[in-house]
Amino acid sequence: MSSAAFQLLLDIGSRHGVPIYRPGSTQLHFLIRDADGLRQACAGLREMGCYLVTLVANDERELEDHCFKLYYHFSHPEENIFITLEFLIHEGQETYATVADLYPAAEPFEYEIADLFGLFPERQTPRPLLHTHLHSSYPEGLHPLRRSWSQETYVQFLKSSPSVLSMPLQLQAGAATPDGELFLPVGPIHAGVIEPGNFLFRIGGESIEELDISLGYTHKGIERMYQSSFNLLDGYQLAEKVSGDSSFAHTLAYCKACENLARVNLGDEIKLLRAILLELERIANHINDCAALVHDLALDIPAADVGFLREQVMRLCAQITHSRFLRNVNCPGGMRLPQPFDPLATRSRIQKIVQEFMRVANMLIQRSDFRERTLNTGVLLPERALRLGVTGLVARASGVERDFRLQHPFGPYKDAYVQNLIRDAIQNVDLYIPKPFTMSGDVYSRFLQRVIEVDAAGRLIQHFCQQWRETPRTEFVEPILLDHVPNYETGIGYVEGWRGDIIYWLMKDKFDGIFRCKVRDPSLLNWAGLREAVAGKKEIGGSRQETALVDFPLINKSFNLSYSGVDL
Amino acid sequence: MISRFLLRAGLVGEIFLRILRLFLKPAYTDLALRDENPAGWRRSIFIRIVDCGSSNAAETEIAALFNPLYDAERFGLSLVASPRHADLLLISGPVTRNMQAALLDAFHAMPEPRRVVTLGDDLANNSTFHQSYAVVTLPDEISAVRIAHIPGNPPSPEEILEVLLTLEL
Repeated sequence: MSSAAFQLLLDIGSRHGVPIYRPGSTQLHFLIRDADGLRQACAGLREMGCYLVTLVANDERELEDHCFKLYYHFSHPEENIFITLEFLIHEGQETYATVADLYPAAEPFEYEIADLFGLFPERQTPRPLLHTHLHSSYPEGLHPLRRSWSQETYVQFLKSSPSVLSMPLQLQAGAATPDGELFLPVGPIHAGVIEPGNFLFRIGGESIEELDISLGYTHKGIERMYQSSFNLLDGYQLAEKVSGDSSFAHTLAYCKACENLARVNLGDEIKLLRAILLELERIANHINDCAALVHDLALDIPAADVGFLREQVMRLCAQITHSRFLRNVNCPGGMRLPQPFDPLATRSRIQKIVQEFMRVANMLIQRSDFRERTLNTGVLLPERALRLGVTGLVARASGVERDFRLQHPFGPYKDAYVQNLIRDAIQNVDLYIPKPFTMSGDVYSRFLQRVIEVDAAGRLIQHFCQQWRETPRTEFVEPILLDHVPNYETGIGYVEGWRGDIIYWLMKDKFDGIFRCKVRDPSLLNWAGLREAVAGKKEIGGSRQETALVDFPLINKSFNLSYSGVDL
Repeated sequence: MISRFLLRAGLVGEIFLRILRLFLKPAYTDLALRDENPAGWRRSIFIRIVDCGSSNAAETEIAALFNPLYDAERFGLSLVASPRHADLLLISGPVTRNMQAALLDAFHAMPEPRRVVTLGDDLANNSTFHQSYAVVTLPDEISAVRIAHIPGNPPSPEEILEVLLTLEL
């Protein structure tokens, strides 16, 4: 780590706040003095290129500071450093300074905090504050993450209130549209087999002018359930249910947060096994998304080919862990497998699957009908991607290098060879593309990025499996002792799942329970990217582009964001 | 005369095909699925999925039902885009408060007789999600016509198929 960047961050933080503690050299934590300090510190961080990772609100009115707290977590763009700004909202105050103009990525968090805590950002909203989590089926003024009411009280209170379907605000008001334009509401139940969410298109002729996305239909109260029904060591069971397709990455992030909280450092063997399964999940889901995308293009034969491969990966997962979604293997402190891990079989099967997948992908990117539909469709321009703070695969497909495996690696990812494998994935890949290739943020780029990541993940699994020393052991668990951990200690867990970085922030309570668990799925940041990619007319390469309504399913599939991971 | 000939040819053909099937296993399948279904129903089922708040794993598995390995359409199962076309409502996930009204709307849009199958452990009565403020129980009128529940976390395509093929409509 370069100490220059560290020193610079320390300067910015100390100018506007008080450094609190330094748990490891990768984490900086500052208590910010006032609203001006917060905004100036954020402006300073923005200048350095730091990006917002997560924003956690916490009801700490019963603790020593007697106030609500906001924790802004930022990441340095290149170094393995996290910066945390702690901001106090005193009792009685219901508003706080917004940083959404500096960091648009803060906006979805602010909506979330408004619903769940009843704390509102001080700003002139360009559009009315959306109810993202609590729709009109919840009475006004109810904020379920305030700790003054218990879960049971909420349940009893809500029993008597009726449930009504929320309608988009534009439709409720019967707002007039400009001439020749109309509103097209879609959802919450969609025609396909996907999760519920409401899309409101404003269309002029064939093209989409604007898209409003209302989510929250799958709001299950997960963050509150962490506080009431789970303790630190079994909370991973709920993490599996946050977003089913990234079950493994979510549990891993949870477990890492728990281990970070207890200051436990695990053995290399556990980290290696976790890395193998993490890459396996990446392959399974990228292949699945490619199949869905190709199916939407009505190329049914390649779609069937890819769907077949996807099933092969799922069965491999089931063989290794007895769960097709790699569930029930991670726990805080390690991993439990139902049978010894067989590196040879895994290697050979993954090699075959990836090889076959690359053959189909190569065939696809040469087809003119495939290129016709995907090239320059749903473009998320690099500068917009950077500004919106999108993450993971979507960011990389727009040419923004954001990969937690590179910036915040764990265990086997720290190896220089592995870092190069990930960094040079596009060079190593055996595809008929011009090299060097620049990602332009269209559907084609996102498809290609998936293919490249499948290829790289295949190589990583080969490499990791080679390093695995065969053992008949099936339990790799190190004990986690919570007795010596101080009360209200916090921990952060992060992992690069297949959609992007998943962050868990944990705070322990007086016993071994959870005072607060904040889940941040990458989709939360990327929904803004979808909205941007679909809407309006753009100038791309000198020609005017607009998105036809029929291309929306395609663009949506190319993002494939989680609804459940956002609604929580 | 001609009709009798055709009938006879058809019968012979049918017998021949059945003998042939004894020797030929269907490609790409681990399922010991026979050409006759165990329950003996002779009609297709049009299914409408409503995700009421599941983690998306259940949807992934339902989508996998229609990949070339499971190919549920060969049994006459098909997914339809609207509840107005559906014989069966397949409900996944714990029913959230925000989805309850939409679920009832979809249910009422179905033609009668309405049938419902629920899917996944999160919907079961002993699920931890029932402690949450944001989750409601399955509405009474829907649970009254529920003909099956598919347990699992989430159930695999085999398990889903097994239940769907033995439904007595």
